[in-house]
Amino acid sequence: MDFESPDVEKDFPGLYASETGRKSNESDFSDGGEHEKPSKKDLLGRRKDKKESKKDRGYAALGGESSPEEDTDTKSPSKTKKTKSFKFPTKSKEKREKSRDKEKVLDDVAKQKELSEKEKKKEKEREKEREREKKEKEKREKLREKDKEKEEKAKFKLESKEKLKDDKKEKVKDKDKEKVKEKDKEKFKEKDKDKKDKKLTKVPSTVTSGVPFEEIFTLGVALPIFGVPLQQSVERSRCHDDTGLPLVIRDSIDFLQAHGLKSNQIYRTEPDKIKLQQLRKLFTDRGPTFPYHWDVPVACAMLKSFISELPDSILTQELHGQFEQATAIAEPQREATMITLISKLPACNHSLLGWLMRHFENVVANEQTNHANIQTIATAMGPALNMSLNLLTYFISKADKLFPDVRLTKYVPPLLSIPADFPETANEISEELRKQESLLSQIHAEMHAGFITNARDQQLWEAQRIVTQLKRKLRSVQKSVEPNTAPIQQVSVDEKQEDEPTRRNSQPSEVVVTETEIKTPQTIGEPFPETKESPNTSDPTFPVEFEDNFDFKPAETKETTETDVIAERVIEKPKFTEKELKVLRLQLENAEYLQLKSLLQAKINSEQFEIVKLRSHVALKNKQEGIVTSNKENKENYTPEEQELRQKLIKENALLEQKRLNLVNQIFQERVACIQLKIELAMKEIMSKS
Amino acid sequence: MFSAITYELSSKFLEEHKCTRLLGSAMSKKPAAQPTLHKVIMVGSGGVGKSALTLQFMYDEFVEDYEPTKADSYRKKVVLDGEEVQIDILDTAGQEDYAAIRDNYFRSGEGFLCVFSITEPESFDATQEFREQILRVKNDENIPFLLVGNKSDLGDKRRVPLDACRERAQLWQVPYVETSAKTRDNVDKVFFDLMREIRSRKSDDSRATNGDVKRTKRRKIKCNIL
Repeated sequence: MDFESPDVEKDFPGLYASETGRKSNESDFSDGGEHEKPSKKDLLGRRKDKKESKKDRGYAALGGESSPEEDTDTKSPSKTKKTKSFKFPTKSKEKREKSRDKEKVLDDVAKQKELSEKEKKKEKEREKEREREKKEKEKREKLREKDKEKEEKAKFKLESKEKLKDDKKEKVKDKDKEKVKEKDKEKFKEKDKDKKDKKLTKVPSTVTSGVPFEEIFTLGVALPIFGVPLQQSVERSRCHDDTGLPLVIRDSIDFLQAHGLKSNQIYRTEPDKIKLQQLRKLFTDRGPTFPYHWDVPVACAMLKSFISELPDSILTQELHGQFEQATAIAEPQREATMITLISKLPACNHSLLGWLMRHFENVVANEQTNHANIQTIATAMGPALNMSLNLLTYFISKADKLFPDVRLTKYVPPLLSIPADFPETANEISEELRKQESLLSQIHAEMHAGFITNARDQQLWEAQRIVTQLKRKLRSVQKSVEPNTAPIQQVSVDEKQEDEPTRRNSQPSEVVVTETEIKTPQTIGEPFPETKESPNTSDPTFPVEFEDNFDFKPAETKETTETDVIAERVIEKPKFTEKELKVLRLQLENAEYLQLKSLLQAKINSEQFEIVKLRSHVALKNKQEGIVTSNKENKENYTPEEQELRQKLIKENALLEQKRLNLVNQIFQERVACIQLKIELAMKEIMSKS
Repeated sequence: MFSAITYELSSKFLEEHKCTRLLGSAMSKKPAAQPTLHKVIMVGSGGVGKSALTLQFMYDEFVEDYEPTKADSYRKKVVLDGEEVQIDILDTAGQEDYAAIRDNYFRSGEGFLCVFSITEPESFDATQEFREQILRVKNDENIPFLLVGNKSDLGDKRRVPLDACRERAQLWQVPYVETSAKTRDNVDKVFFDLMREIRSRKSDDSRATNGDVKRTKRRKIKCNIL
């Protein structure tokens, strides 16, 4: 609906708030069943319901006339009408055409309305507030009749908008005084005159915000992907591979990588707004896009609008400042700081940032042909990304170092059916399987959110069938490859589990200890890295076994590089001198412990604050109930039962305290173990990258 | 400038052309290659042999080792009383952990095979709950439904008396069949019986209201025969 557009919201927050208030009430009025199947008839019916409910609320507003909300209304009506007039003709090309056809009709109707309104105003003047209500009813009924007539004439969407507008106008008028009304009339006339001109100029802004009425309860509206936290957007519409990017971003970058790098329009030309809105709507409704929906400026604008609408900075609220500060550091440390900062980002932010920067890097690399340099990108994207030029420049120029694991690959969506010539290798099957399972879980999530249609049911069965098919294929492929080594594998899992507690025990010891361990891993504790690697090198079938037990997920990555990894690892080790390794590990450890320290410090602070607060409470209570408590103590002395209870409680408390201490200890140990594992992971990553 | 526009137009045209062609081919295929589709859902506790029954029906194979199912779906073309139809089988999880996933499927299922193991009274008890769940989701007492006692090859370990099974089927007014996924005994029968029920149900539905009474009669007769 037009009046919900963010544009309007910005200009008239008060109005918007009242509208949304009404809206939410309305949705309460219509029952849940309707949400699922917004057929046209339902919608028609609902619209009538809406009108009635609005009516009721109108009375309520009239009753309490001097509310502050009203003041805003009385000030703004002329403006609101203006915006309405902008919005009205601008839904889409078709609608515009329709509206042109129907303009004469609409003009007539508008005049009629004005006349009737005048009559009513006179009546109002004579009568007092109580009587007003009745008249309002009559008025609305008349208008509704008019609306019905219109319905016959005009087409569906158009009408709905008109009605809504009428309703709104009326509400405003009800509250307004005569002078304001006169102004309104003038505006009204102007509006009609201006219609044609504005139609053409103002089109784009409304298409975005103006969600057609029928779609109000669709997936795209209930679970939007624009303007929500990144994590949510990714959950709602993601690429079904491991990148963890929202589909919009992935498609836009894919398109630009394929068609934009050599184009001199990239990050320079303004997009065709209509095209942009179309595409945006397609993404919002999770519809498929086709190449003709895309062009270079639109893809750029898509990226930009998605990012700028994110509620939080892409670098997250907490880390943004640190990133900016880090740009000031001198070089050798700067990169390390940046890398640690980047590693602290949530996964989805990390991949979004990585993909963007790698993409920008590619754009800038083609400066010769596309004439786009960092400055160009900064002007286009800087405000959306909310980064300083320094930081952005740094990210782009160091993208390969900061995001070495990000590779811009074209997204291949999950298959709709398994072709006969589907590859028979375990890798490809499990890759596709993961995509399909991701798709499946998304469908399930959407259904759980209440969006159940026949089409989605069908999609669900189909995706499930493909998953089953793939699983069977994978199993048969594995059977043909897999030697019988299952028992060994289980042993290795056990080993890991056994390892962990021992490790945990050794963890609280000093950092120095771990340092020595690296030098001579066989001597003390922590055999983890070595033992884990040695079976890999000695037993090449290990990855395959792995695959069987762990839901195929680690399998793929392991298997793809199965032999390569082994070879690499052998070569890798000499690459890093022990000193370097030591330093690296210490650095990582240091960062982790610092983080932990700050976290704990924050907790301590909050606890201390709590203590102070509680103490003051206690002091207060004591003052108030000083006598009462002394009485209670006396009572306790009297009854032996209570004493028993008291002793019991004391015992129990002691026990609980003991348990609590144990748990705290455990938590601490687990945390340390976590840190160790994190470091282990980071080390592995670094090793595999180099 | 002009060339850019013409290029865009032409690419657009080509794209649309492709789409229509694709659509066209899909459309032309549909009536020929898309026989009626019956959607069957397997329910029952874990380990009673839902997957085994399904795999036996689908691929004539019997899997010895037990691996819990999360959800699996299969499609097969079969000839039902001389008419070629497609059957979609959804093999659900017996474990409660996946109940949320299961519900999404129940809604679109047209017929249900409620499986228990005749060697396991708990699984027989659980059928009650599955029945209720299905009726709740489908909101229809006469939904095509078969009570299936699996593992009939393990007669010596039988712990659910035949009378109890028959009694429950009578109570629900549904057919009761004993199967063995291992020996393939009655495996085809349960699927085909269910498909017949679904088919007659569908034709009744399309014949609108007066068909309702007839169907219930017919169903009762069927139960008596079995």
